[in-house]
Amino acid sequence: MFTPPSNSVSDSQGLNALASNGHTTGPADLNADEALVERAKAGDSAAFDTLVGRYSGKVFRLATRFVGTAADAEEILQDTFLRVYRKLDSFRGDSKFSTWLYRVATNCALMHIRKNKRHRAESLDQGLPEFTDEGYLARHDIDYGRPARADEILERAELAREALLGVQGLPEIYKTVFVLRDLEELSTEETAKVLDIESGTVRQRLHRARLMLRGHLQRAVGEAA
Amino acid sequence: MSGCSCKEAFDLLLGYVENTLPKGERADLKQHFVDCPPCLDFLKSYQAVPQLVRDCTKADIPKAVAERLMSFLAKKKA
Repeated sequence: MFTPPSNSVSDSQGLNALASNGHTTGPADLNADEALVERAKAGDSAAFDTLVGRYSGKVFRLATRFVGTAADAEEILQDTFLRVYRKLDSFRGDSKFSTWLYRVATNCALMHIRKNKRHRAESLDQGLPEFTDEGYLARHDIDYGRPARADEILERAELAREALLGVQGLPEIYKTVFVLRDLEELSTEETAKVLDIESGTVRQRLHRARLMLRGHLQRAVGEAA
Repeated sequence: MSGCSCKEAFDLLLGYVENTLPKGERADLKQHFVDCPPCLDFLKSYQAVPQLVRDCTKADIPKAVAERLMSFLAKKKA
């Protein structure tokens, strides 16, 4: 039986709504997520399959962003929807289905990462800015935001590889926030609800994640330039 | 130079980028970026991170993966 670790997200908690694919147009809409969930709970297999078809792309994309390879992402994808299928009765509808699904998918991704040592986070602290005792920036790095940008210095495939490595290298608490907030483009409030943390905590962790990734990409550009 | 140090500027970066700082703090920070080219450079690269990583990590689900998912679930449901 799956027991979420203490710093992971409880799958069964109710949350406020996440934007879905625009299908949640109201209770009268027979194809709205909530209607499909009720039908699936009642044994309508086609209703469940419709939900899978609707969200499999998003879950696959989320999983890929967490683990980097299609093979690992596929494993997470299958685990996620199997878990959703088995635990659907526990979904009380306090939140939108898509919110609950994001929680399940994030937890599956984290479980996968913990199981596979090759995905373990490396320290990206060396990419963080350093300051003198007086509070001035101690190092002036190459700026890849200028015209000589990372996407001009690095080949597209190399940039993608470094970006994925950077995300995978983030400590878990920063990675989850960064993937949900910056990559999946949930709002701060939505991210907070999915992860069951305060909005202020989301912002702190997001800032740190961005600094670490900036440093990682800076080094990659610096080595290539 | 502005009244804000580089370290203070960095601590406020996210608020500056998301336009959630109080007016006075935002103005201080803006002046700091005028006075401190390294920090301005840092701001630009910091701002570039989300879009850059998002564009590089988009992954559409391959048809074969979607099909395997449905087969996998069909077996589990049986």
